[in-house]
Amino acid sequence: MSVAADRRRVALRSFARGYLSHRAGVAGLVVLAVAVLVAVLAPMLVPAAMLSVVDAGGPVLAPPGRGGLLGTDENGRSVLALTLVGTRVSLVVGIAATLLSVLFGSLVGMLAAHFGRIVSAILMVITDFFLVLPSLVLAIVLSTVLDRGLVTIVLAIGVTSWASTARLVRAQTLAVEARPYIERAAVLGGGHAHILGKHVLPAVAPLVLANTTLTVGSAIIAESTLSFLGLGDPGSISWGAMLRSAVESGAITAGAWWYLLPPGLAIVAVVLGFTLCGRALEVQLNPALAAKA
Amino acid sequence: MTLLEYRDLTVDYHSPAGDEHAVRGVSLSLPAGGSLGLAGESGCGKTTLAMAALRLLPRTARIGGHVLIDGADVTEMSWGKLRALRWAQASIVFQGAMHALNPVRRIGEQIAEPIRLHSPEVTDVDGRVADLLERVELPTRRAGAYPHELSGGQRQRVMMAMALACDPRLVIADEPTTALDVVVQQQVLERLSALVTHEGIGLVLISHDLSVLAATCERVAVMQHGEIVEDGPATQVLRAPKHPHSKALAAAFPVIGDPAWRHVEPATRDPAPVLAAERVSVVYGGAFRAVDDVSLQVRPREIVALVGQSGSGKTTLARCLLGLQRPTSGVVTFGGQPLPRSSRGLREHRRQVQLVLQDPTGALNPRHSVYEAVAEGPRVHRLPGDEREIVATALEQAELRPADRFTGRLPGELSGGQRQRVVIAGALALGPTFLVADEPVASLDASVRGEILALLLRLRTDLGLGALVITHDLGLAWTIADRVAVMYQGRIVEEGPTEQVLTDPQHEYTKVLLAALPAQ
Amino acid sequence: MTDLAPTANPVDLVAPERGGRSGWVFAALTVLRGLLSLVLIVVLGFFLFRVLPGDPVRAMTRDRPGDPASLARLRAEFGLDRPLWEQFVDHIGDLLHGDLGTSYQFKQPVTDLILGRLGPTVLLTGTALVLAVGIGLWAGSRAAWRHGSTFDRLMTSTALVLWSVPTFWLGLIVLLVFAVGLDLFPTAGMTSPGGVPGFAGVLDVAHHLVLPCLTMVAVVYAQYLMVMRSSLLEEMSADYLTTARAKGLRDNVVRRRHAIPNALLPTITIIFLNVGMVVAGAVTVETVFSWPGLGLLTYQALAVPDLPLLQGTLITLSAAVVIMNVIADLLYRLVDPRVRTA
Repeated sequence: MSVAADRRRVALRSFARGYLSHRAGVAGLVVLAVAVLVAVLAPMLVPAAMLSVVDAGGPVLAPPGRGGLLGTDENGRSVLALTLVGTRVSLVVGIAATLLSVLFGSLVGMLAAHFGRIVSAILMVITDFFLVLPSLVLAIVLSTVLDRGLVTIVLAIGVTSWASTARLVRAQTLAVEARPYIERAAVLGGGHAHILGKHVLPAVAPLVLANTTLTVGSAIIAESTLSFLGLGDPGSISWGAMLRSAVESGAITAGAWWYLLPPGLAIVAVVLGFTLCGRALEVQLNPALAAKA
Repeated sequence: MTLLEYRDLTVDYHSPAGDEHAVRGVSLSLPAGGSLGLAGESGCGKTTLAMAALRLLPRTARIGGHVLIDGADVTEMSWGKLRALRWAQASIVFQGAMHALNPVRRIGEQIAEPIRLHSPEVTDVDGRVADLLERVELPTRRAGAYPHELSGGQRQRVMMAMALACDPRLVIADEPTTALDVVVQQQVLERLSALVTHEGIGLVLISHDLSVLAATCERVAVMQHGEIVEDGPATQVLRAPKHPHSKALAAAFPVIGDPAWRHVEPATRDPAPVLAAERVSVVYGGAFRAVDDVSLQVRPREIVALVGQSGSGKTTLARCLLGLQRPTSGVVTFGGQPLPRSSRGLREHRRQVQLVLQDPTGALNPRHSVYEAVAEGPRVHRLPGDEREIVATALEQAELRPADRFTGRLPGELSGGQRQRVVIAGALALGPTFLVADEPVASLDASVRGEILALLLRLRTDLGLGALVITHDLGLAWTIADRVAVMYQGRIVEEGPTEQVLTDPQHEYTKVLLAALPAQ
Repeated sequence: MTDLAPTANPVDLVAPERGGRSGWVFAALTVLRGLLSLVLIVVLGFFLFRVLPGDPVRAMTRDRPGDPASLARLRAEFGLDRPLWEQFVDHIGDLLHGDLGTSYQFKQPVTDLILGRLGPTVLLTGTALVLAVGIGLWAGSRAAWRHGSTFDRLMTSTALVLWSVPTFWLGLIVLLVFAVGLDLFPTAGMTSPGGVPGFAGVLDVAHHLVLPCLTMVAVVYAQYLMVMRSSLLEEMSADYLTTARAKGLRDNVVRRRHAIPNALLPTITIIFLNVGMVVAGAVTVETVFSWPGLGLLTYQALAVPDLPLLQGTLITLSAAVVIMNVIADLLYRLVDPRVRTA
């Protein structure tokens, strides 16, 4: 349908123009682009030898200058190298966990709102239950009873964060289904699949996208917290694990600020990037929010 | 002594997108104790005019010209004097009482608030509030109620009591009875005029409903695009309007009983009904009977008006006829056969009987183009034939010509009347024999109503389409319906040919409805 | 008294039929819902600790593999050699007696450990909450009323940045700067070693409280600020504010008497509902500052891993959040009259 395709192209262009007019959103996008680039290129930028605990060969806990650009850790490894490599785990875990929780949460939310009554009651009891459970505590428990590893962390974060997406999607679906055009679609003869697919999903998807971007931010923070507490994948280098090693090797009392700042700043930068993008998306998709931005 | 005077008033709203000229050089005056009606469609600037009298416009507004209340220039006043004038000399009864009242404070407190502010010397404020409530006929013990605990009519009365709290000289009532039942509307207006006349208060009444204004005010001024296009005695503007816009507005208010307003000729019809409800009841929760033992028949090519106020059960009955609601007891038949229960069977039924909803803005998915909206039905049913042709034919039948000028548009780019035509085209695309129209013109501007009603009549002539029109508006029934059924509290209280029911009503309720119509 | 003739049969003056549950029924239902959540938490805890790890004893001793005999002894101690449903019944019975099992690493009853650490956590989170709510609500309403001003933009940007900062890292930096670098505050614990008697002891605790509390407030207040701000911005466009202005009220009276109370209503519930976030903050802050509370206990449990202790802290912390939610629902119904007739 060329008319529809044309319209979509025009809409996309005006969306992009609107998005790019917000400096914060652009800044966020730039940060994310840099982060993705670093994550992809890390193995090429950082030879494996630099990460080896035995072979790194630099001075122990040396400040920047003597120990390279950002100093060294307690094994003589370059902090800069570690920080760059840590990007991979953070992004992979953050995005994977978010995909898991958003897909599951959206499904639950849409079904609960669309089918209502008993289906909704059961689903919402489960959702509310997961909302009540303190997510960090639950994530800690899951990471403890299951074998340590990336899959466990992704699972732990995903399981504890789907409930708020479910709530959001349910509210949005209810709002959309209250509109008369849904009743019109039913009167025209449309069934569940038609209504959900042609009307509800396109209306709900943009806000889910914006919410997803915001969720990635909190997933990254959750991963770093769990790694800091010692529950991360023992074989991977992540920013949270770096901070844990820093504390355990006495970086605080030794005043080794070069070991403590870079990983944390990296987390802040990436999470801020996702948050700014998410907010810019929200404002673009819901013009009413622009007045309250 | 002139109580209120607008002297060449202009109001512009500044926005990054440009300036909007809401009011352009309006001059009006109201003598003390007089009543003036301000008529116009939504967006004509009448509310802006009213708010300008108390300088209640948003910061983006620029005022030119003057507004004088009792000789004092409101536009040049200091804030202190303005605050003292507000409510004590002139007050407003706002539209939409549900939102104009603070939802978490009791109504007694809200009525008392201006009294405490402007008349701190009053010691028995509660007594004053009780007196005001009595004047608007609300039981005084309701002073402790919250707004959501009251009905729509009661909330309007609270707004009236609040407006009178400081004994103003002028009351401006902005659409005080929209969204109210016709009967309640009549009573609220009656009370308002009585109070105003009794106290010698000047009244400015704003409404899109000319008949309401004609019944309550001495003079009526008609506004269009920010200008006054006609100004004269009320009955004259209603019955013998001069300006084309006034004529369009007046055309929305037929005189029942006047054959000039009747656009249907009686004709003999095939007696076998095409759509019928037999002793249908819909009971909620075992106790509340939304539809109570109703039998109704509609014959081929017939237009039947189902008339009732909100809460009468007419929408529920319509949904039963469409198969959207399963009746608790009774049977709905189409072409003599009971409605199918299976979803496939119901889908087949959809091709025969279609629905036109009240609010055309909400009835169309804002993201779908006109083409997609009209093609939706044929796609769902996988109708054979060229989809483009089906859509084009349907659009032309709904009088959107030429069709390709409209296919690519979005609903937001169309006017209210055009949107309603798109909804009708969407229904026509399935080739039904029967339409159910739920308040098809209630959300449309008065000037557009006539076109849509004419379209319905033409569809009957050209396509043989019968219709069940659900409405609260007796004037509409008089204009296009062959038969009328009056519904009250779930039951059909009277039914018969339109001429007979509306000129010689038998049932008490029908008589009340007819009597409640303003300016008949 | 009015001498106007009454309207013939005014139809709208009868009070509309409004169904509404009485307050007591609502309270009972809310508490019941909370109890249901607690039951589900207990079941979930059982599932997580006895069923999921396959062999809990192996999970606990994976860092310290022992000979089969001692493993078997441990299993018998924890009752793991009995059928699952028997374990469950015992578990429920123990819970009803307040027995949460015995800690694997401390060799003490879990309940005693938890009760001992409860006080410090309440002190830390309580103080932080009060400060965060106070600052957040004040700043949020000021930012909203002066929408677009420098204050507003400053508040919003700081809130955004703070939201992106991991709590534990903020704690580390605060420690680094104020405790180690500037040497103004102690680096760990709730009291100086050996303890300090009398009023000086209270001051000592307060001295130790500053940094962890500051860290918690910094992360949490931003949330309350944003909620209050958007809530008030929403109210500011309401029609009833125009009515209030039309009555002749001054702008600040309109704000104080009409806008802010209405904006506070949803904010109150959100404050209570976000207790889960505060709990998470407590875990990380206590760990970083070695504050002897439930959070640190959880950390100590997960290190081993000490499953009975971990289970105990999970149940306790979850129960606290459930109770907060119940209070939130009851409180909201109390203050918002619209909910009473729902």
